[in-house]
Amino acid sequence: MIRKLANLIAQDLRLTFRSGHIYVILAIAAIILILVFALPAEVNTEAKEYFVDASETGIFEQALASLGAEPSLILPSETDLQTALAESQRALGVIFRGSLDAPEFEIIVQGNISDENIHLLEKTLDTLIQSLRGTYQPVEADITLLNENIEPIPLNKNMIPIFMSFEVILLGFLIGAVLIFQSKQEGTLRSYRVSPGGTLIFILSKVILYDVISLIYGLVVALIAFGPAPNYLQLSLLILASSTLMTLMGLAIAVFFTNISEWFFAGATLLIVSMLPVLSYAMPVFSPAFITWIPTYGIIFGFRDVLFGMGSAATLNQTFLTLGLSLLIGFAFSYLAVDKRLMKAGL
Amino acid sequence: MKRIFTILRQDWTNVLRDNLLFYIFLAPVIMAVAVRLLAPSIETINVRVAVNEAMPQAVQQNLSYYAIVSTYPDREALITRVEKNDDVPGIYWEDGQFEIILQGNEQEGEELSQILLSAATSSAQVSSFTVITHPRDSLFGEYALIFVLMTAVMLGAIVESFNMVQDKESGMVRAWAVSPLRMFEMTAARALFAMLAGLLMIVIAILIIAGGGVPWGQVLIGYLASIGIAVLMGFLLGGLSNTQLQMMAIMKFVVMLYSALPILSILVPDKWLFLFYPFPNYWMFVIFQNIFVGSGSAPVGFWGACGLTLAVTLVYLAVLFPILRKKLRLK
Repeated sequence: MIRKLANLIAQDLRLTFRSGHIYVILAIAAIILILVFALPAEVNTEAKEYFVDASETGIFEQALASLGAEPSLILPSETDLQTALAESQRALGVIFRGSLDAPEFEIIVQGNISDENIHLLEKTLDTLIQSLRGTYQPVEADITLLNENIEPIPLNKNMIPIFMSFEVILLGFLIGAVLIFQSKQEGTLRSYRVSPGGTLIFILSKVILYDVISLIYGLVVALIAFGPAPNYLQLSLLILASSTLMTLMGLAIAVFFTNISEWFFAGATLLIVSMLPVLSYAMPVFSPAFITWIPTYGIIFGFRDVLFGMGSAATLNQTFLTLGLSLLIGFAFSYLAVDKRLMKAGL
Repeated sequence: MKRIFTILRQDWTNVLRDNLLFYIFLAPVIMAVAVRLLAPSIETINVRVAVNEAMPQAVQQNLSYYAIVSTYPDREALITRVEKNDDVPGIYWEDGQFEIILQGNEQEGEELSQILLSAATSSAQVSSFTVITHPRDSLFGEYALIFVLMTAVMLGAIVESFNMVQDKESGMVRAWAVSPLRMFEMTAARALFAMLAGLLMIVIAILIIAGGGVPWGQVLIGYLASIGIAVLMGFLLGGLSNTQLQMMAIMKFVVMLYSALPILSILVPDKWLFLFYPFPNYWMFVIFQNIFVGSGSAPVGFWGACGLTLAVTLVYLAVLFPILRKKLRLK
């Protein structure tokens, strides 16, 4: 069995090499690493809030400055505010009038902002006024940080978990599927069906090949980008488990299509859906339930937790447990699909 | 002209045989519906907070004025909730004492929780507020629409590339090499096909996401200015690869450049934008940015972006055209 498996892996590896996939992998890895080292660690892309102090005393402006507000966000006049708001459609405007004794705020909102968020902004401004008056009394509360070692993720490295989830572990999903169509077209699949290989070896050969390539690919990029900091045992396990899942999914889906162009649209749709968790990754406040059900949600946050040392052991265990269960279901589904549609049905 | 129509007819047959027409209709519908469903919830993201059930009802009610509140039976369940991947701070109450529980990576989590807590425990407000709302369409929706349109153009090019590779694998290219078919005619036929497929997809996507009230004239002009990019992608994918496996390899790289560059251009500071100037897909993105987001958001106006898209695409096509003519052995 080992020999048959090794032969099939060698054959798939040769096809993968010949198609140029390895060069593409090298080129993409190079681009990602260039971006990691070329992009700044921080870029302000948050929605802006512009302030105008239209009071006679200028006390609001002074207070903002003392709190470390960016000087470019404090504008001299309401006309400047209107110009700034016209230029930036995401920005908010806040005008302070009156005095500390009779404070009045005008908030100019653009776009769709929930009432709760406006209430929160009002409360924040009111708290500032109360602080200036010396009447603000914060509520006594203990603060517990579950993980004190966490630091903000730099922008340039923030994309690595996305890269791991939608490039490194997807090799088997894409190339594995294409290999099926290629072998159908060249007739090698017909020969394989009458050989003693069988379904299990067929699936295992692709899983092992793309697991190994993904592992090398992911570890090299992680080593260059992060050095020795991450837990490489956890990272390797995560790459292996998620790459296996994706390859199994790729095989299970590909067998239902007759040719590559038909499969491509279904595969691309599935990939786009599987990329939705990137929205939650970019904005962790936005995590609707349906996005958390997509397997890549756990995977992308799993990579974040391992690479940046975030998340608790319990969260990571949960990710591995979910992946393990998905693997069992994925393998059963993939085996049945490949066996019925590829090994037994008419080609 | 007759030869162009022959190729068009042949591609049409491939599309019908492979059920591609169904997917050409389906792909923009799925993407557009996803954008329609996601846009409202992304634009009105609310702050969320987790509390324990024992917290007094009045405090919970006050909190719900500022955030979406979820309750958990005890401290352990609250910690489990806070540890999840999204940014949700926890506030635990016991015997009149509050404890703010944070994972540690929440954006401004400590300040936010403190303000929430103050807001929930003291309703006193000393300032008066006037809120003026200027309703605008969601920016997420607008950018998502641009990406759906760019994806539609890309899918048109990919359909065409599959046809080109199929021609090679079936030996049709060898037959063409000894026919009077010229490289220009083959390019024109492929461009026409990619244009029609892409146009169909972008019209469906726009109707679903933005409705009929868009400047259709500008959309059409912008699309026509960008069609060279579909031809360029077709050349890169279908022209340079001999097998479908090779095409998938090149496609991964080309698609990454095609879709990632515009996203990066939103994120990087303006002084870095010159790095994107040599890429026609960046200028194509700027065309649609002008149409759907507004000219203030783009480095050049609509007509400038159309001209630059055309010009930069033509440079690449001028380089690739002779290479491909040699490879396909066409006149």
